[in-house]
Amino acid sequence: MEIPKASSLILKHSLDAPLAGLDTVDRREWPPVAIVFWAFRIMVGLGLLMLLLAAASLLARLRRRLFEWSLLHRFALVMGPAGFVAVIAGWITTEVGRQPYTVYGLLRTADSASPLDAPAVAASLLAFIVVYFIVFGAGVFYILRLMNRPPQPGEAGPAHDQPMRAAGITPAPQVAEGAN
Amino acid sequence: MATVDLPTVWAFIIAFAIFAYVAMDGFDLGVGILFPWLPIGRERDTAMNSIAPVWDGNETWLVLGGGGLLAAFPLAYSTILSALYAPIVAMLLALVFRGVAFDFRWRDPGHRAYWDIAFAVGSIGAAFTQGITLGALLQGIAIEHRAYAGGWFDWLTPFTVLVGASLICGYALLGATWLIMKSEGTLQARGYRLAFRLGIATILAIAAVSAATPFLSQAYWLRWFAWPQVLFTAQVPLVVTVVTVIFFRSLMRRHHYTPFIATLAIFTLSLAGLGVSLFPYVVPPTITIWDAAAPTASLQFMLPGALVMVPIILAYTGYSYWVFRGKTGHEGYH
Repeated sequence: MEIPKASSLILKHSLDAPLAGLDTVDRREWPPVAIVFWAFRIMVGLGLLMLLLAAASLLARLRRRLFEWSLLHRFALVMGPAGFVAVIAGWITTEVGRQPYTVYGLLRTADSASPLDAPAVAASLLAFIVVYFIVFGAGVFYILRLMNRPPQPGEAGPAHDQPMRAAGITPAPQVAEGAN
Repeated sequence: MATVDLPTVWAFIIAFAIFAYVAMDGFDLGVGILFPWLPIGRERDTAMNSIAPVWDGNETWLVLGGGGLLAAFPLAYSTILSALYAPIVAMLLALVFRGVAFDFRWRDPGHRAYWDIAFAVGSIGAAFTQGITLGALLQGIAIEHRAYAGGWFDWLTPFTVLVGASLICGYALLGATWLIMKSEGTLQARGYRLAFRLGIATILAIAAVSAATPFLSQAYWLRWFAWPQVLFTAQVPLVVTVVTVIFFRSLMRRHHYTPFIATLAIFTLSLAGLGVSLFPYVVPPTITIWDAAAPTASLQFMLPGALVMVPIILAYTGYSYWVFRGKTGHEGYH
């Protein structure tokens, strides 16, 4: 499905602007095409699914079935990480799509590298991977535990008449097994 | 109005951001450094609650200082970050652990002991690597053809380790005096005891770093001791001495606010001392603020933004401290 001229309008702000295809670009100036291709489609696909979820929720709300439609609830649950994945995919699209440039058309990635020795960079990358796995792993563990516990009727909500901390002791529930 | 020298203006904006960072994140890092010395339970909970509303706002200034350095002095940013790659990466990872500990330790009492360790080790690591960074900058960074030309362990010397250890002491002192100000009872009593010992350690550390710095290079020696500016520079250690006396007297008399304010004054004077040593160099011994500055058009373009944003940040920061003023409770709100 293609809307004639729409791509020209979006990318070049003119209905008649010609759009150069990748085949007109020197192969040495190509980014890794497969990564950009799929990352972009994952991002857009998730965006469309989010719109579908929103539309379905609105429909259910209007038909007063928002709290009964369990298929919708499961869909919403599965869509939980969608925003995160879509943001990462979009980030990959811009960063990989800009290659082989750091500043498009001006500074190539190869020319913008710091005078750092490879082992130093490798060590820092490894350190980041290890730390992210630990912290992200703990975060996912806690999120899953929270999701595992359905909300209870009459649960205490946040107080509205006092200053509230963003961290520390807050009314948000504890997640450990056996916690109150 | 006389012509304004933009690189000098920007140097002061960034120096202010660094000072704001050191003063504010200093005390909350300090509370983390002191965590192993606080008993598990109510004292740790109160200590953490006292910084929970403000700690992440305090780290704004690290971003502002770093971002400002990149925008205003790109040559300094690129050479300093290459030279200090390992300690700066280590600092960021330490801040990650310490940051998540704030939330995870409350949510998961079963593993609270581990998050307390993450909080303390992250705080100590961040303080130490920041000290290393400062020490490495003071001892000079090897530059050739406008790029870093040293190895990857140039930052590790006895002097940088001394500055790193000193900063741990100094932040811990800020943390202890902050706890005196924000707490009561046993935690406050512990704050007084810790502040007394840390006060002695910090003053000794400042003396050691100050004594070692002029021997790092002839330039520092001249900036401190050449006639007649010695009349001006000599005021810095003199005022430090006066403030130190005020600090210890306020501890003896069990004042609540004065120890923290006096410690902030000691940090301010130390920063002034660093200014005397470094200015106008941003990457000693070769790059001055004028060598490193971005084009005048960029500096001009960014200035209105900084002049609007910095007061706004200061205003909302002040407001959040006002909202959470007074003594901190050990649970919930106050």
